[in-house]
Order: sequence, then C-alpha cells, then structure tokens
Amino acid sequence: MFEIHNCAPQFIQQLINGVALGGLYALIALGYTMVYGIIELINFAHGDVYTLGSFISLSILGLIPLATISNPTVLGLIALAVIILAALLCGIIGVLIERLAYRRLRNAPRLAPLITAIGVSLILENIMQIWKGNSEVSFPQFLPDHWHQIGGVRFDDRSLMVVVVSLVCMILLNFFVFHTKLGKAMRATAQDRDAAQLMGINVNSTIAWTFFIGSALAGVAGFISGMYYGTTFFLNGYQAGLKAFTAAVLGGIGNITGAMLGGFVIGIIETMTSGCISDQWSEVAVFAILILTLVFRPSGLLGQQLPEKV
Amino acid sequence: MTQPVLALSGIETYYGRIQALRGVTLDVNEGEIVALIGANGAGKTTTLRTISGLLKPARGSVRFRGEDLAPYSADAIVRMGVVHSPEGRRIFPRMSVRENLELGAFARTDGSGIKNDLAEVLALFPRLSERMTQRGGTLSGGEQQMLAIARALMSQPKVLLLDEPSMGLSPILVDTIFSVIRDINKRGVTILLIEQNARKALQVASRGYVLETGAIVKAGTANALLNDDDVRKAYLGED
Repeated sequence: MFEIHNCAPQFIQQLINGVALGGLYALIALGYTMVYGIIELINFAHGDVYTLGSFISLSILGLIPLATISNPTVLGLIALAVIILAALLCGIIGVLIERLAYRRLRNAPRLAPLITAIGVSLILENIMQIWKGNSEVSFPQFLPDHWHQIGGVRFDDRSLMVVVVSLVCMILLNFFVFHTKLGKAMRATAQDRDAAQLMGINVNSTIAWTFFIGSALAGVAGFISGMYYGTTFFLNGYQAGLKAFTAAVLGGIGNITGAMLGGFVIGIIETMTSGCISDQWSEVAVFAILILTLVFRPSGLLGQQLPEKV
Repeated sequence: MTQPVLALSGIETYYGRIQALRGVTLDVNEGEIVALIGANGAGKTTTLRTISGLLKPARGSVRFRGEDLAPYSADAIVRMGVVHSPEGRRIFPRMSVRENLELGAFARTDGSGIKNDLAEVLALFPRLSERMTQRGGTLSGGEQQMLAIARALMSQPKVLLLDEPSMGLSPILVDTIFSVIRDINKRGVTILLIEQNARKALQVASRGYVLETGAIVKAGTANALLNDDDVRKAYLGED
C-alpha cells in the first residue's frame, strides 16, 4: 500500500519545511479570516486571487530581461518590486470583486453571497486557464539560491524568503489592524456594523479596504509560492485555498492571530504527515482537522465568545 | 420663530413591506430636550434610526438646520453633528473602554479638542476612568450605558438622539443617567430622548410627543403631557 517512513532523523528538517509552507497558508488564511470577520462571508474566490498573484508576478517578470542581470542586489530589488506590484494589483482585484459581486448582496440571505463567491472562483479559474493554459507553468528562479547548514538541518534561501516575507507581512498587518485608525474602523465594523456607522465610520470603504488588504496578502503569497515551488498552475488556489481556509477555521475564523497560528499548524501537520507517514495522507490529516475543529471546537483555537449585549 | 434644529415631516419608513412609521412629523428646537414616548413597537427606535440615516424613509423628510438629510449616509450624518446613541448600548464588546471612547471621536481630527472632551466625559462618568483598559463586553449594564452616552458625546453632538438610556438599570443608576442628561443639555446639546420610563423622560424634557403604531397622536409641553388623562393612563401607570 504505502510505506511508513522513519522520520525521526529528519524531524527538524520537516519542521522547517512545515514552517515555510505554514507561512504561505497563513498569508492566505488572513484574507479569509479578515473578510469573514467583517461581512461573515467565506470568500471562496480568495484562493484564486492567490493564484492570480502568481500569474501576475509571472507576467511582470516576463517583461524584465532577467538573464542579463547578475547583480544579486538588483535582483533582490526586482523581487521586492514584483511583490509590491502583485500585492497592489491583487488588492485592486479584490476590491473589484467586492464591489461588483458581493456588495449588493450584503443584506441578502447568507447563501446568496456564498454561491456568488463560488461563481467568482470559477470565473477566475477559467480566466486563468485561458490565460496560461491547462498545464503547470514554470516560474523563473532568478534569485541566487544558497543552502545553509546548521547542525544536521539544511535549508535554502527560498524557504528562508517564504518565512521572512510572511512574517514581515504579519507584523505589518498586526500593526495596521491594532494601531491605525483604519484598522480600528475595521475592527469596529467587524464587531457591530450599525454601531460603527453611528461612530461616523464609512462602512463601505472600510469593507473595501479589508478586501484590498486580504487580497494584497494573497498576491504576496502568490509571488512567494511561485518562487518557492518554481511552478504555478491555474488550479493551485483551489487546494491551497481550502487548506488556508482550514487554517483560518482552526485558528478561529475572524481572528487574525488565529489565522497566523492556524496557518503554521496546518503547514507543519501537512509536511509532518507527508514525511512521517506518506504523501497520500497529508490531505486526509489536514481536512480531518477541519472536521474535528468544526465538531469539537467550532470557535477555533483562539476564537472566544464574549457577550455582545448584556 | 427660528427654524427648528431638527425637523421631521411626514416620515414613512418601511421594514421590507411592513410600514413602521405612518407620517411622523415632529420638531426639535435648539437647546431643548424633547421626549418621544410610546409603547413597545410604536416606532420610537425606527424614528431615531430614520433620523440617523440607518434607515431611509420611503416618504417625508428629515431636516437638520434646514438641510434635507436624504442624500447623506449614516456616517456623514454623524459628522454633521446628529449623533445617535442606539438602543441596547451597542458598545464594541471586544474593545477597551478607551478604544470605544476613541471611536466616538473617529470622524474628528482636532487632537487637542478630543483630549479635552475625553477629560470632560470622564469627569461626567468617573466610573469609566477606572475601567479604561477593560473590554467593553465585561462592563456591567449600567457602565455600558455610561460608556454608550460618553462615546456619543465624544462625537461632539449638536443633536443627541438617546434611545432608552435607562433600560435595564437600577433605580439609583436611572437617576444618575437622567441627571447626566440634564447636565449634557445644559452644556448646549439638544436632545431627543426615547424612553419607556415616560414619567422620568417628561420630567427632564421641555416638550414631548406620543407615538402610537407609527404615528404621532399627541404633542405638547412636558407638563401638559404629564397631566394629560390619556397619557397618565397609558404611559404613567395611573388610573
């Protein structure tokens, strides 16, 4: 059937791979959780915005004569510029999706926007299929890659980049949400939309900004996943989206810190299962966690119930 | 006479197909406290929600200082100075008392003015200054009501709409809240007050309106309403 590996020697190695994968899931999970937090919608199109991030990065990179540049600093700056551009474009796409598909349905029964989200997801997937075709597309590996060895553990610059970029994004997001005025407006709108309006908060623009930020983070994730895996595929966002959604639920949907934690936990569980049991079981493990969380702790690891009214 | 600061005329508001207000007309003059009394479901809260823009009327107009509020969204109406402290307090449960108060001043940009107002509302409600870092959801009902009023004051209201400020409070707290309402009014804030506790409301108000099934059925000075036989029977619990 399948073999069970002895994974003890490479336990730490798998842990590092898991952290890199987890950083990616965490970035995507943030968009799910922020949007759910503010309008209680599971934005099924979010995973596809992440794939769009890869595709957009790929197209921008195609415009740059990478082969003629050898200075690593310049290449690093190019990577940074592409990340920022991909984030901006994905952010704008996220805002458009909200404006065109979800806003009118904000007060409709819950099922209507949910079905719409699935529709938007299918549209994006089909657009990407037409755009880059039915097969995997390779992603240029233009950054110099070095392997590092600490003790018995090896890791390369790519995993390091995934972890660093995702951590930086999370720190920035945390600062933004808890220490800026717009962040405060987002939290207020999430807790009580009517009351937020009565504070003079423009709820429509606050929700639009939430989509912008969530989608921009997905764009960043799209770029770094292309760099990490070296390929991309129009349906990538379907699977990654479901796993990131699982991460958001595990952390407590609506909870930003929870999404980060959930992302890392899911990433580590997935690589540990692949490494210690078998590849075929990794998804079983991930989605078993989704089911177990929903059954036994629907509010998630960090979700908590406080009385809304006394 | 000078024009009223807030004027509703012929307001009809619907929830879906159900008509909640059937031609509400009322005026609030600068510096007044006006009480709007009525039974549960008479449309008191709907009236306030229509003024603050959370609901839009199908017919009729809400005018603030002569300007029709129809084109303005709820958040813009707050910025104009019509501030609504909603029924059930609606404080932000997962934010600290300080953050709740800061949100009251969300639309303002005058840093030093905000600081002064914060000191003033804390002087008005000393209990809140002991609770600044506590989450809103963990406050007692009375403290939440104080926070809701304090938060509304942070928006620099010219007209303050208060929805059931005494609901669910102990008699002592009810007295405190009503004396604060008087205080706020003395500082120049015009108040439209909705209350189940009609007697208390009419005692602080200068004028009152009685709302029944979505329409104003009586209007007059507070004293006249306190002595009106129908009002006494229906709303003051007297024979």
